[in-house]
Amino acid sequence: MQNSSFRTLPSWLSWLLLAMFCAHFLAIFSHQFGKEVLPKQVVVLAERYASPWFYQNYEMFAPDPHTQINKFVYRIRVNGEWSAWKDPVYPHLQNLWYNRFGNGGDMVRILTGIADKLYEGRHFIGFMEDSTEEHWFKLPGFILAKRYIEQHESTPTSDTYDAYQVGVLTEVHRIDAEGNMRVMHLFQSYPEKTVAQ
Amino acid sequence: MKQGVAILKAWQTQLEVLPVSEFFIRAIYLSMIWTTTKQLGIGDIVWGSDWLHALYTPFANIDRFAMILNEAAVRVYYLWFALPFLTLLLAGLFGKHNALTRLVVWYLYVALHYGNVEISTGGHHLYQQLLFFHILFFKVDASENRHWASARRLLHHLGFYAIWVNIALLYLASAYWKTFGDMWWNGDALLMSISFAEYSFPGLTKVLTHNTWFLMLGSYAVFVYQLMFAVVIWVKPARKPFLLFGLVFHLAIAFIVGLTDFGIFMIASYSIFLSPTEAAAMLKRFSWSRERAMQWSAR
Repeated sequence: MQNSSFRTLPSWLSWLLLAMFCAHFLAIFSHQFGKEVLPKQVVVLAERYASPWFYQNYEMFAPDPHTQINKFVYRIRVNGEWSAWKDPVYPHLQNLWYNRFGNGGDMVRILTGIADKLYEGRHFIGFMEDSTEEHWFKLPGFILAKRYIEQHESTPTSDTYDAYQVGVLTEVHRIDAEGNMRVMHLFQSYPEKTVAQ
Repeated sequence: MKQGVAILKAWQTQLEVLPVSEFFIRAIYLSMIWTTTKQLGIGDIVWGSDWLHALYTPFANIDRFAMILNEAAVRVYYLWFALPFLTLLLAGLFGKHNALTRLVVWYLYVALHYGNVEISTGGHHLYQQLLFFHILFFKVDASENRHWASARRLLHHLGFYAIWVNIALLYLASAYWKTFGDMWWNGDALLMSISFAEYSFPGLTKVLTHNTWFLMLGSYAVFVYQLMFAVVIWVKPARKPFLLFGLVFHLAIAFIVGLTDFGIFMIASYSIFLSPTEAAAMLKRFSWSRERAMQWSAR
């Protein structure tokens, strides 16, 4: 109920507050939708306003859902013998299937992030003319994969591993003209990395 | 213009949406308590020194504080962010919050969210905005009639409807970007999304090997829902059945697709669309004490 004894704000102040909210959303809408249509200065200004505090990315499953998923795998060499390729994602994926409220999904996404970087790195190297092993080992995906291996395998000694190799397994999906799902796999490995004992 | 003036005046003299704001705070705080607790189980990787994602620090000045958990030296102290955050959320769940605690909750959320971009979803981005606007959810007694009380009521309303607009923005942007693809137009999107075991269940991916009429219908329904949300949400008679579809959609995202954080965050944020009567009834039902329950039933 409105009460005449209420001391409301001066009209100009109410409108000013409302205008500030409108200006906020104008900048956010420009940032979301205006990249292709607005003048460059406006786009830069909107970007500057939005990032990082009001940055929003809503391109979920857009423009199309993922058509491929990358998986990070690695193997280690012990006494000259290579182990089978290890899939660090699978236990977390099982955890995610078993318990949607657990942190399995978080681990799957973190490890998929490594796989995506390994995949991008493999392509990046493909465009280099004279790539050396050092180029491979400086790639962000490799550095993250190395961190994972160092955290999950015991320190290299003559009894444990003396080399390791990382790879990325890509599962590609395509729906054909008859509506059938087609699945393809692509495996790409990085060079073997010997570790200092 | 006259109507605008009347609305702005009404927003300063009454605060009928207060139970909705209060219930909204509890709903989103509860969802964040769950997500923060489960992530604390792998906290050293998510926010701490065992990180497995690329640290990203492109900003300077005050903006650097948003990405503070991307500084390797700071990540060692991630519990200084996560534990106060959880404490404030728990207090808020019992109705103990004020503008300062809400501001701190927003900041800590930003820092923790940017502390690991790999586990971020659209729901996380949305919460960052909703938590900013929830700072303005001032509790103002109905008897207060000074200018300051009017200002706080007005800001509360502006924050309240800013949350509506921001949720609408999420769907509008999501639908807008989908228009540039092919699969949302030809009906392949739903099958493609759940064809990966990472976004489904192994048994389901084995069964769904062919696009069917119900999968196509599902793709179109989601696309249309997202396209129409920004308009339909303002039409009172259509709002509830429309949101009911959204509820089912987000439950499916949580429990079939496995993006549980996103699904739960969206469902919790839908609480802003309750009516004041419904919100007051919910608060009464979930009150921790008889006095609190009486407070909400008196409204």
